[in-house]
Amino acid sequence: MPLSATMVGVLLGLGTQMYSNALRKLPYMRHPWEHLLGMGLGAVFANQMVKWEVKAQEDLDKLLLKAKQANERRYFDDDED
Amino acid sequence: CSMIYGSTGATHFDQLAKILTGYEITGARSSGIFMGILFIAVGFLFKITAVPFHMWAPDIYEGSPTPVTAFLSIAPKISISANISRVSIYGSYGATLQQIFFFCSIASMILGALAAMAQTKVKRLLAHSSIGHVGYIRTGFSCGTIEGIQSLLIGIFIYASMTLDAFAIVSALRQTRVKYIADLGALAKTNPILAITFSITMFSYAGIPPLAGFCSKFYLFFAALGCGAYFLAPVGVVTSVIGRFYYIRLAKRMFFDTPRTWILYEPMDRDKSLLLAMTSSFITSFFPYPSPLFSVTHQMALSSYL
Repeated sequence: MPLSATMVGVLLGLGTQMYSNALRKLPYMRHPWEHLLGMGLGAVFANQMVKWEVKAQEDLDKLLLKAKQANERRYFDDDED
Repeated sequence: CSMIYGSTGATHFDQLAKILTGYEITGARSSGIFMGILFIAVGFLFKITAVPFHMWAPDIYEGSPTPVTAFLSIAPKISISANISRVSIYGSYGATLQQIFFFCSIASMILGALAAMAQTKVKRLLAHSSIGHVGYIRTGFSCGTIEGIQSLLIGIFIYASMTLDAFAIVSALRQTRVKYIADLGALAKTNPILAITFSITMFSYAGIPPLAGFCSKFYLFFAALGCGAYFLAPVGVVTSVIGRFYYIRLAKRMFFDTPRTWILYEPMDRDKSLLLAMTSSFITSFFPYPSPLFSVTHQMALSSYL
C-alpha cells in the first residue's frame, strides 16, 4: 500500500510538472530538476494523504459511535431529555 | 440580528434554538423573529448571488479585474455557507427558512442555466454559471439533514477547485485580450493543452463523469432525494442537462470554429501554469479516490449536529 501510494504520488507529481511545462508551450522535460522536485513532493503528498485518510476514518467512526450513543440516550432511555 | 435579539432577548445559539423550537412546538408566531430570520437569510443570499438577489453578479464579475472576480466567486460562497450552516442549522432552522432556501435553489438553478445561454462574454458566462452552481449547492443546505450538509461541503470544495481553474485560464487568456466567447476560436490550434484544460473544466462544471463536478452533483441530488425533496432533484438534473449546452459550446468554439481575428499566443507565467496543472489534476483524479474528502466532510457535518 505505501509502495502504490508512493508510485501514484510520483506519477502525479511528474505529470503535474510536465503538464505545467506543456501549458507554457515549453519542452516537457525542460528543467528536469523541477520534475524531480515534483516527484518528491507528489510522493510525500500521496503518503501523507493516505495516513490522513486513515486517521479521518478513525475519527469519523468515533464520532458515529458518539452520535449513536447520544441518540440511544435521548430516545431509548427513560430520562426526561 | 437586532430584530431577533429584540424579540427573544438572546444572542447565544443554544438559547435561540430552545426559544425557536418552543415557538415551533406551541405554534405561536412572532413577526419580529420571522422578519429577523428573513432579513438574515436575504443578506446571506445576496452575498452568495442566489436568485432573486443575483442581479449584481454578472456586471461586477465582468467589470472587476480577473483575480478579484475569482476571489468574489469563491470566498463568499465558502464563508457564507459555513456561516449560514452555523446560524440556521444550529440556531433557527425551521419550515419558513427551508421554504425560502428551496425556492432560491430552484430559481438559481433555472436562471443560471437559461441566462448563461445568451451570454457572449466569457466572464459573464462564468458569473451565470456560478449562480447556477450556487443553486446546486443550496440544494444540499435546503435538505437540513447530515447528508445534505455533507453534500454541501463536498460541492463547495469541488466548486472552489473548478472555479480556481476556470479563472486561472481566463486570467491567462486576458493577457491576449480574449474577452468574448467568439475570441476563443481556434485556441486548440494556438495552444492545444490550454484548450484541453478549459474543456476539462467546462465538462466538470457540466457534471460529466468521471470528473469531479459529476461527484458533487451526484451527492447533492441524492441528498435531496434522501430528504424527500422529490421536485428539487429532477429540476437539478434537467438544469444540468440544459447547462451542458453552453459548456460544450465553449469546447466547440475552441476546437471547431475559426475566430474573427487571430490572437497571438503570449506565454503564461509559471504560477498560473502550476495552479492550472494542480487543479486539473484534482478534477481528473478525484473520481477514483474520493474517500478522504467524503470522510472529512462527513465528520464536519456530524459535528455541526452533535
